Formats: sequence, structure tokens, C-alpha cells
Amino acid sequence: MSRVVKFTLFQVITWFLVGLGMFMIVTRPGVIENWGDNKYKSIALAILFLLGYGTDLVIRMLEKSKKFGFIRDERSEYNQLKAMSIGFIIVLIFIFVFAITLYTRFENKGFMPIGYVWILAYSTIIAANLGVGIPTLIIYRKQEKN
Amino acid sequence: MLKNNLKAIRRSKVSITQQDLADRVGCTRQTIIALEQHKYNPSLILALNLAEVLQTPVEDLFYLEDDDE
Repeated sequence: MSRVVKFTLFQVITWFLVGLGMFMIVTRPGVIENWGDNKYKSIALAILFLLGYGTDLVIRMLEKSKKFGFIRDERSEYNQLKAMSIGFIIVLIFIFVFAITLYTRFENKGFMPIGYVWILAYSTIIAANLGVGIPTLIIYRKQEKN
Repeated sequence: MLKNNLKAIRRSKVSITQQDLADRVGCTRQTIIALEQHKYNPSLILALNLAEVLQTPVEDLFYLEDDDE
């Protein structure tokens, strides 16, 4: 397993855990309906996203570090571009499906709790990170398996 | 589909390791492995660098093959 794959795997696991944590927070009773009044939910989400972005920052710093001997070559750039193209499509589909689901669910009520918009915003970040990370792992796996 | 004789030429003609070849052309060993397994198409620059290090004309190193073959 190359270093790029190890780092990407670590990143994917982290963002998966962030997503899982967020899911557990927002599915608790009353959280979405009382979105603005729940300070603890905001702090918990902030900590989760700090963990996700913190991991990204540490990985980037390790990549830049000469001491660590991390090498990116043309194949890394090619794979990254390919994964980002796939990730872009995944995010588009995710937002479309999420928005349409909300519309069909609340169409008859005529209004929607504002918390859902926050969930869409937060989950788009997670979808983008997983949508690029997972295809990256699949592309490398295809190229590097014997 | 682009194929290559990289593995055969590397072993027979120059006899260097994948890591040495990777270091000399400026890529990773995993990229050399992917090339030898025909799972990655190199850029023109990398192909020319490989040909130079392996002292082989680039057309001997890389060739086109029909997909149905």
C-alpha cells in the first residue's frame, strides 16, 4: 500500500466518522425542529468538522514535509484529477437528490424547518470529501493490485 | 491500447531495479509497477525519459495494440 493510499484511507475514515457523528446528532429528536436554539448541537458539529479539517491539514503538512519523503508524480496528479471529476458528479447528484427529497417531503406542508438547509450544507462537505476520497482509493487499488 | 516492453527491457538490457528506474526518471516505484502492468499510460515526457534511461527507442518501448487482441 503506497503512502498516498494510506493517507487517503485515513482521510476517508475520518470523514466517514464525521458523517456518522453528524448523522447521530441530527437524528436525535427535536434537533432539526429546534435548530437555532440548540447550542450544544452547534458545538458538537463544530468539533466534528474541526476533526475532519484538522486531519486534512495534518495530512497536507506531512505531504509537504521533506523529512517525510512524500513523492507526488504525474500519476498522482492524473489520479487526483480523475477522482475529482468523479467527486464533482457525486456531489451534484447528492445535492440534487437531497433537495428533491426535501421538496417532496415538505411540498404539502408549505414550509420546511431551516435545520434541513444546515444539514444539506454540512453533508455536502462530507459528500465532497468522501466523493473524492473513495474514488481515489478505487483508482489506486485498480492500478496497484498485482 | 498502449502497451509496453518496459519490464523485459529493464531486466534484460539495463538491469536496474524498479526503484532505481523510478528515481532516474522522477516518478514513484508504484508508477513503474503500474506501467509494467499496463495499468497506466505515461505522459510523453515520462515515456521519453524512460526510453532515454533504458537506452531504447521510444517506439520499441511502447506500442499500440488493438483492444480485441
